[in-house]
Amino acid sequence: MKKKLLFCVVALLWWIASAHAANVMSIDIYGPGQSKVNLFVASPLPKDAGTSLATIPNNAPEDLNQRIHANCGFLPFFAMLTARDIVGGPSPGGYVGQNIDFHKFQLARADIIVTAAWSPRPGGVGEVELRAYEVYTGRLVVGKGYGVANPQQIPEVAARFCADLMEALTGNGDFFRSNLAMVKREGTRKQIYMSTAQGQNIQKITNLDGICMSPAWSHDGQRLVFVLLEKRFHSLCVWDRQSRALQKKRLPGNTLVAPTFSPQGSVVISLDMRGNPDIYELRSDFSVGRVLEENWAIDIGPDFDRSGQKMVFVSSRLGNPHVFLKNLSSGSVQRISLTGKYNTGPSISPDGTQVVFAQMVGGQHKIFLADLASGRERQLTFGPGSDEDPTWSPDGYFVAFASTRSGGSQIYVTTKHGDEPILIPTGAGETSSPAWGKL
Amino acid sequence: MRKLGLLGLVMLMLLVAAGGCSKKVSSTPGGDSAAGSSSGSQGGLTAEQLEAQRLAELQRQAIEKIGADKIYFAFDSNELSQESRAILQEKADLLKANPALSLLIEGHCDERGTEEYNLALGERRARAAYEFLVLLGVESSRLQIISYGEEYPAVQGSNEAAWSKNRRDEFKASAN
Repeated sequence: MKKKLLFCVVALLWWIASAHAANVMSIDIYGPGQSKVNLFVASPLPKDAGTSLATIPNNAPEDLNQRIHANCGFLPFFAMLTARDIVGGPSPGGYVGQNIDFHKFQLARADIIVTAAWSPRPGGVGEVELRAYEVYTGRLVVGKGYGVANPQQIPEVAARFCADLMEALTGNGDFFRSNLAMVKREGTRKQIYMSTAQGQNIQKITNLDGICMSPAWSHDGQRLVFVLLEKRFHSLCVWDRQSRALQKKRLPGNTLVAPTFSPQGSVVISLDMRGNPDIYELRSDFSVGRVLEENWAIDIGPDFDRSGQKMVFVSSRLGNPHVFLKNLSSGSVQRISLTGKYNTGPSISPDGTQVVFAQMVGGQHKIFLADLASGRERQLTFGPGSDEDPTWSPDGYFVAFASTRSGGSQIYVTTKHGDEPILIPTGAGETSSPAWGKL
Repeated sequence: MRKLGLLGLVMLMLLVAAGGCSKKVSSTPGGDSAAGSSSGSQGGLTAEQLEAQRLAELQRQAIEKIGADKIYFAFDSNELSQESRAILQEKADLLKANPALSLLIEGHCDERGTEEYNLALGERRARAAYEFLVLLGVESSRLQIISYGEEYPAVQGSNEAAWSKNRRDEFKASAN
C-alpha cells in the first residue's frame, strides 16, 4: 500500500536475465576474499536530447545522483570513481548502451557505470530511467524506470535502485530494504527512533516518561519490543508498526532485561522472578510461558537464528559475562566467547553460522565475530572509543553497532569481514542500541 | 523594608528546611520524599496531635538516615563489603524501629559495562542488599528493588573516582 502511495514504478524497462549468467560480474560478499568493483555514477542527462534538465524541479536529478552515490558508499565492495578519474571527461555520451563510450571508462578501470535519464512529468517531479552497465562487456546489469511525484520520494528511488543493483551483483539487496530501530537520548529520557539502514526517513516512535532500552524487531519486521525503565518499575513495551499502537505491560519480577522476538513471533525476555535474571518465552497474552534458560547466574540477551533452533545469550555462570549458544532441540549449552573477561551483547547471523558480540579490551568494548563451524574468534572493530551492541543485517553481511569513536555514541556499520566502519547519519544527540529489521 | 523582612523570613524558613535534608541529592527519578510534614506552630494542638507530630518527625529523620548512606561495589561485582553490611545493619534497625516505612532499593552501575548487562548487574546489587535486610529480619513485603543499570550515574566522569561512586545501591524509604 505504502509503495502505491509513495510512487509507482512506471516501467520495468529491461531485466536482463543474462545478468545472472555465469560469465557476468558477480561479487561474493559472503566468501573469505571480497573483490573490489570500481563504480562510476555518471551525471544525469535529459531523456530527450532537445530538452534541458532545468525543466525538472527541486534539483531532483542532482539530488538523486548524490543519494545513489551516498548509498553505494555504504557498500565496501564498491570503490567510487570521481569525474577526475575519467580521462577524456566524465560524460558517458549517452544513457543507453549503444551511445555510451565504454572505452574511456575501461581505460579508467571502471567496472560498472550508472546512468540516469530524466524527462518531465506533468504535476510531478519527473520520470527517471536508471541503468547500470558492466563496462567491460557493455551488458545492462540493472535497468529501471520510476515516476517521481514529489521530492520526498527521491531517497526511496535511490534505495530501490541500489537494492536492485546490489541484488544483481551479490544476490541480495536487502540492505536497502531494511531499517534500524535505535535509542536516542533526550535530556534525562531515552526514546525509540527508526530509520532506513542508511539513516534516511528518521522517525520518532515513542514519547515516554522514562528510559527506553533494548529495542528488537520481530522477524517479520512488523513489531518492535523494548523495555521502559520508569520511576519504580520496569515495563515491557510492544509497538505495532502498522497501527502504530503501543502496548505497555508489567511482568512478574522487578527487572526486565533485553527482550527479543523468537522467529515464531513470541517475546523472549529475562525476568528475575526467581531471584536472578533467567530467560523466558512469553505467551501471546504476555503471561510467562516456557523457560528457555535458568541458572543461578545472570542469563540475559537472547537472540535467535532464522530457524529458531539456536539461541545465543550472555551468562555470568563462569564468574564473568560470556556468550553462550543453546541448541533448543537438544538443550545443549556451549560457550562461544573464548577469550577476554567481559563478552556481552551477542547477535547470531540469520543462517546461524556466526555470532557477533562486544568484548572488553583494555577497558573499552570492541566487536568480535565467532565462527561457529570453526570455533575461531576474530576482532572486527578496533576503535577508538567503545563499540557495543552489534546487530546483524537480515542478509547476514552487515553488522551495525553503537560506537563512541567520534565522541558521543552514534550508529556505525561494518561487515562480517570487518570493513572500515561507516557512520549511519541519524541526526544529533547520543544514539545507541541499533536493532536491524526488515523494511 | 517590610518586603525585605518578609523575604528574609522566607529565606530563613527555606534554610531551616534545607538544613534538615541530606547533602546527597538523588540522581534518580525514584526519589519520593514521603516524609511526614511538620507544622511550624504548636499552638492549640492536643497531646495526641503533638505525639503524632513527634512520631512524624522521628519517621522523617529515619527516612533521611536510611537514604543518607549508599553502599558501593567493585567492578562487575554484587558482593557486599564489611562496610556495606554495617550500613545495611543500621538500615535494618531503622526499618524495624519504624514499621510504617517501606524501602525501595535501587541498583546502579558504572558506565564501563554494557547497558543490558549492567541492568542485570544492577538487579543483583539491589537484590544483595534486599536479601541481607531480609536476613536481618526486615519483612520482604516492605522491600522493593529496581535496577537502573548505568542510566543514572551519581557522579559524572570517566575515571575510577567517578566509577567507584556510581557502582552503588541507593535507598529510598517512604511511609506506607
